Amino acid sequence: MKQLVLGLLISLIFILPIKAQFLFNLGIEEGAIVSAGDLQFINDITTDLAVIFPLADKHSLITYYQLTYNGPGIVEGQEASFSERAQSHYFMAKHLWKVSDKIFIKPKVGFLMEFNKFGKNEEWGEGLYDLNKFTFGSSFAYSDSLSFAYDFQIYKYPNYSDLYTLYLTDFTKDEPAEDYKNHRFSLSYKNSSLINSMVFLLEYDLSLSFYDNKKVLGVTGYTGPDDQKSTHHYISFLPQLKSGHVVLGLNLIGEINDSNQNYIFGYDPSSIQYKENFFSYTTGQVKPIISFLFGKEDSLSVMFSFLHKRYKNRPSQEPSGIFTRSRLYVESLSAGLSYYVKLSKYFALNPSYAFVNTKSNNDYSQAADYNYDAHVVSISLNYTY
Amino acid sequence: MKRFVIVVISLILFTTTLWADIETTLYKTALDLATKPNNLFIEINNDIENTVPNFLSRRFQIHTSILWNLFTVGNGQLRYRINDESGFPEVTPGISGWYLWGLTFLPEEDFSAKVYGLSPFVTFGKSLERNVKFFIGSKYTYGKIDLNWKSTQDQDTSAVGMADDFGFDLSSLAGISSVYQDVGFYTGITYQRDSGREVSALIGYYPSWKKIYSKIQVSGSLFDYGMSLYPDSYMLLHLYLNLHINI
Repeated sequence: MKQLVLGLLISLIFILPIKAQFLFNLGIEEGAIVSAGDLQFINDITTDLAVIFPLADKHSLITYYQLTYNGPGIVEGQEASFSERAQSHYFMAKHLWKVSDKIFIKPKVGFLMEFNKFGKNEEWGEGLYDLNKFTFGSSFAYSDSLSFAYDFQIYKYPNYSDLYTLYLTDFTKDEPAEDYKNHRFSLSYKNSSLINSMVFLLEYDLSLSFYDNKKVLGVTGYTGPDDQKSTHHYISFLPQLKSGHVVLGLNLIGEINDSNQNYIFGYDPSSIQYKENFFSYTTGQVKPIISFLFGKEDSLSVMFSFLHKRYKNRPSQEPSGIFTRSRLYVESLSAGLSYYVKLSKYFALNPSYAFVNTKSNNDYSQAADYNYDAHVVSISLNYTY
Repeated sequence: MKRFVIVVISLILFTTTLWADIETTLYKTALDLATKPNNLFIEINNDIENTVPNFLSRRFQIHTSILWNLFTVGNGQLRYRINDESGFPEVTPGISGWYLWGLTFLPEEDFSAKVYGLSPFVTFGKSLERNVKFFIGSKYTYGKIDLNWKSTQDQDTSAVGMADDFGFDLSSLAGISSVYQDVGFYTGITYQRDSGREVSALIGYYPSWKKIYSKIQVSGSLFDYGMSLYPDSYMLLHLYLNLHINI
């Protein structure tokens, strides 16, 4: 009964503020993937709830909660009992301070709980990689276009226990833990302009991560004294032209990820293969989209995408698994249709279909993720206020 | 056109369900019931209750799930809206309950059963616009499952047939006994269309069990119909049809 009273009090805290502004979204997606003769169903649920409290003339408080679930879908195959499923809960409170007409300061605290399991009969909360992540930080924004942010993140894996980590750390750790911290700096720029009925959207993000207690693997196979760090660049350019009931768009996306983390293969120290900067890559993507608008808000979109991803230092593999001298690349080509139907003011349906062809220069027989064809059908329902 | 899309999507949902191997699905459901008996009954409880506030001027509502009655799950719900919104959100307490009476028809000398559940709840509703309400609430869910079959020891266990495939022999069970209880939270939005029908979306969560559920519901003057979604359950999608009387 105490829990029920506590539950009611929490509910009241959310709903009592008279002048608060509410934002709500419930998205349910059912999908089917056919690849290499296998049929797999997937199910995603996302809920967002935000309440914005006006505190004073230039201050407001945003509270936000997000729940997500990813797992097997409406029909479970024979193997679905052993497939991965995850749920996460993210709580965030952000103070919005309007210093002047163009300058905003937004300090925030966040807490993410993530639960994973690899089978139906495993209990929630006992997953090896269950994660608790705490975030404290602030962003400084100029107008809507430029912002700089710093976040201090604490990653805790409450259930983590791994003999392999003990081996890597030369059995010097009493408790093999994956817990680490991260200092994350980010800079983002957004701009939109209208030139002769064409809209140009430009977005650039740079993030730098400096980890604490997340060590870099050394050539011996053991982790060394250095901590991991990474740099990530993301740029997107989207020109759009609307003519009558047709919208044409061409999205160009580039991405560079640079990480100092290395990788080793094998458990026997005499046959370990060591690869430096294993996770650094460059990605280029071209996505033309044609949308046909119907009625008030319905639309049919035809989408194409070509993605090329090349690893900086990761070699491809021969069918037996031996590394070659070539750098690994992955190319993915997809084409699809998406139909957006507004059923009522807040309720929309979005059936879609896509064909995906992915290939690479990796011929390793166990690297099926690099070479496959897939048909993806999905239906999503969204209730958004 | 929109109705056509809805019909096509419904057909896809039904046909994909039919693609499944019915025998395997039923066996898995039975296995799920045997190994995690609470799951199915928590879902029944969610199906039969209606915690979404409505736009009617009448305060008292009696409500029952027609489909679960057809499966011999007697059920009902009572709720009462205490106040109209006037600065303070509207408050609607209620209680739902169910009893699996179909099992009482089985011969007493072979089988004894007592399976029931109760769930009191309180919903707070707040109008965002003239025809849109946001709601949030909490409930306490309690259930008891007590199934005993007495002649199990004499049965030929090979009759089950699929035990080897799943590594678990259902016939080896002498009974299922379980009590479950947890406090759940739910929140959502309901919107009244010009036709008077209300379209609602709800997401709910039981923190101790870490169980998620969601509902999309259409409510008319006499019936609620919709679908519940239970991720991580063998019966992921439940369709429901409920009857309500407002007084």
